Amino acid sequence: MECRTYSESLTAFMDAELGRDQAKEVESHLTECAQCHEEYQSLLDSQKLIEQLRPLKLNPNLWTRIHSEITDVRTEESSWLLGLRSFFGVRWMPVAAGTLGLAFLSLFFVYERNMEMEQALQTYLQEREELEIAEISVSRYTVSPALQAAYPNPFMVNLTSRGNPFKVE
Amino acid sequence: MKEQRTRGPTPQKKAQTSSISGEELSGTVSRAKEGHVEAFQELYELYGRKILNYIYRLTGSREEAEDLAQDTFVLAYKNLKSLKENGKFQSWLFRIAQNNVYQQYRGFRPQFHSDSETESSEGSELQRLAAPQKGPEDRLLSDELERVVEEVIYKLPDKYKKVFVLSAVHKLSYMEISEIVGRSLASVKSDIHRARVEVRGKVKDYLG
Amino acid sequence: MPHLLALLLLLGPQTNMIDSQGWERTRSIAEAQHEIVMLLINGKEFDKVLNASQEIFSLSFPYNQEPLFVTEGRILATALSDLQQYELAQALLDQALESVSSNRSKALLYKEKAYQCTKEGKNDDAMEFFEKALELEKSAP
Repeated sequence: MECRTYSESLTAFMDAELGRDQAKEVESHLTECAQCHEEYQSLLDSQKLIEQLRPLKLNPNLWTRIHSEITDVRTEESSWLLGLRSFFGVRWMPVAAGTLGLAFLSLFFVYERNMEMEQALQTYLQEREELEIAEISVSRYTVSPALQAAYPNPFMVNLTSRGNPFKVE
Repeated sequence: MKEQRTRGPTPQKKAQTSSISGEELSGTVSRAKEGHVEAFQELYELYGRKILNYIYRLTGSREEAEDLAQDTFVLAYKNLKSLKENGKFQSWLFRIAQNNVYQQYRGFRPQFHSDSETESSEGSELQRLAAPQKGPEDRLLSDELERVVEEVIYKLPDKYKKVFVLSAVHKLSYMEISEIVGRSLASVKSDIHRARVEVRGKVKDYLG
Repeated sequence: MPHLLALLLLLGPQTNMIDSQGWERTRSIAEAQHEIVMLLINGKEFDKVLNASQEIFSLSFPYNQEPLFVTEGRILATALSDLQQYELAQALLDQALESVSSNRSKALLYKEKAYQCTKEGKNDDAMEFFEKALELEKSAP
């Protein structure tokens, strides 16, 4: 393995994410290669800084707010049921239960579908975001290399950064 | 003859990210699913701070982080029954948090407010001391260096920031991170490395 | 009949050559026109953008090159919305929609419309376009 390949594995090595054999190989290389050893050390130093960042503490009233919201949900559900029972009375209960059951089932499917759709849109937006072209500021009337990189011409032959399918062999 | 270098510190396997065993966690999640609010509170106490800090790193704002953390836990409570494997509660929760942040900002990046900046501009000294957001007793970095490091992390491109925070700050395994962000292990590993190199470079530039 | 067959065999490769010459010409027109559109966008001459981009989307592309229209739509729409020209981005994507025939390409463009809507906070519109995209995907190609 070349130094460049080791360099890419250093973070995974630091995070103990390499398999045993690979980790041993990296460890052995670090004892022999000054450059990689230095690289590893600087990654470790930077990691130590991150570990020293003070995390936010939980605000004591955050749970109060969450608790109040989730118990509101539960209270709304139960008072709603009580109201329904008094309206329909015991004799009509089976009919009421059946009708309501059907209504809820259909609402549930609609809700589930809406949730699913919303989730699908979120997933797509996240994927699309990761394709987002970087914003750069460009001067007027100049097609700079940076501009070409940011908004690549898909019709250009030999556009190596995009694996152009029209590349002339 | 090759010069022998002293080995760097041998990486330790990641410490248990939660102080609860897998079985206990599964039991607590089951009870929460049955509607036991105190079980859900246990889950909040285990993961609340992590979620708050994860959102804070993504949004750069303490106030937003608290609001979105609240939304995350409420949404989790409402949808707990949709969680198939109780053992995956942590990654499921992080995923909800991430989606909430995304939904809130939809690609628009809010301005970064370092917590030390907002503290100095809000409220009296007494109010600050009464509800400290960060403990002065465990300060290891100078305020300025801390602010710089936070800003460097915050300014990472979104796709690097998420995986960086989850690995370097929250010490989650790459497999778990891959589940949370919904990308392949190889892609996550590569991005974590790039993010770490970028953070190191920018902090090094500041330190001179 | 054998003569006809021979003729076809002779013409076959010629036809391919003509086709690829034709495609090369079309491609290079599109390439050049893309640069013109980008210059207009970055020069903030937005009133000229749609006319210029229509020159690209009205080109006759072979069916298998249709994905290029999708890519071009995405790139130009992003360049416009980066400069907060959201309406123009949507109009440009509509031009691209007119130029493609496959449901798959249309679906991708509707998804792009959805994405661009979210950039200006029009979440309801985004959902509408996204649902339209999924419907088209079901009936692809």
